[in-house]
Amino acid sequence: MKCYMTASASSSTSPPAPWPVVITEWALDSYLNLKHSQVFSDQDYRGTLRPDVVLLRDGIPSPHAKFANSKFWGPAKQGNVILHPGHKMKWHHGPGQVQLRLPVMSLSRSAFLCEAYVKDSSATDQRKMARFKTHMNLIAQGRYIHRGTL
Amino acid sequence: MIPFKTTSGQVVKLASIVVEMKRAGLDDNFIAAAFELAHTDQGVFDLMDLWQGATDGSNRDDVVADIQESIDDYRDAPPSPLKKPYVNFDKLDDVAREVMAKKAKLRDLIDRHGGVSAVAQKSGIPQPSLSRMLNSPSMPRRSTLYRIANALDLPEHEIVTERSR
Repeated sequence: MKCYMTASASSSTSPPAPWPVVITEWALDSYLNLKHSQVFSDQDYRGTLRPDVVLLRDGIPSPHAKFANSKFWGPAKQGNVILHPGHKMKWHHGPGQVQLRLPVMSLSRSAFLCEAYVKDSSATDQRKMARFKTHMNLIAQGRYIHRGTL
Repeated sequence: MIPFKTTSGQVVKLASIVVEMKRAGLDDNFIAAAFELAHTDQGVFDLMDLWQGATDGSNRDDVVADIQESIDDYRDAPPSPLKKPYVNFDKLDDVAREVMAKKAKLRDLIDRHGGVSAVAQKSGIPQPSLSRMLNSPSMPRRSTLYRIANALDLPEHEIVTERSR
C-alpha cells in the first residue's frame, strides 16, 4: 500500500510525457513541394509553422488556447463527416497569403503529420481528405515511413 | 478507426465507375488495382467516386494521379514502421534542387523515347501521374523509376537516383 501511494504521488506531480510528433514520408514530401513552390518561406516556417506544430507535443486534445480556435485547429472533415482520429491544422491567409492545411492523425499518444497542402478549391480539399483516409489506414496498420520526430 | 468494407450498393457503383474508366481509355492494370483497393480503403473508394463526379479533364487527371499515389502507397508500404534518415529543414531546398536536376535528365530521356504520352503508355503509368512526378520536387518512387527503366530498356544506374524512395 505504501509503495502504491508513493508511486501515485510521484506520477501526479511529474509532467506527462510529451507526445512524439512523427514526420511521415508523406509530410516530408509535401514540405519539399510546398517549399519549392514558395508557399512558405524560411521565416514562415521558423516563426509560425514549426512553433505551432511543436505544440502537438503537449497532446491531443491540446491544452493550448490556440487549439480552441476552429480557424486554426479542428477535426478533419469530408463534407460534414468527421474523419476520426484525423485533425487539421490550418493557417488562414497566413504564410504566403494562402490557406495551408496540415492533416494530423492522433494514435497511441503520438501525432502523425501527413500530407500538407494548399486548399485552393473544394475539389482539392476533397481529394486531399481522401488521400488522408488512405494515410490514416496505413498508419493504423503500422505501414508507414518515419522521417523524424519533433 | 473502423475498417472500411464496401456495401453491395457501393460495389455496384464501383462497377459502373470501372466501365466508365475503361471507356475513358485508362490502363487495365490501373483500373483493376484501383477497383480492388477501393473495396477496403475508403480513401480510394472516395477518389474513384470523385473521378466519376469530376466535370473537367484536369480535375479527372488530378484524381487519377491521386489514385495511382494511393496504389503506390500500398504497394511500397513497409510491413512495419520504417525509419529513414531525417532531412533537416535547411536542406530541403538542396534536396529539391537535386531531385529536379535528376528529373530534368529523366525528362530528356523520356522525350527521346517519344514523350510523356508514349512512355506513359509503354510503362502503364497513367499520364497524369508521370507528368506530376516529373514536375514536382517530390522524391520519386524507386518502383516508378523501375517501371520507366523497364519500358525504355534502360540500365538501373541511368534512372535511379540516391534521392528516390
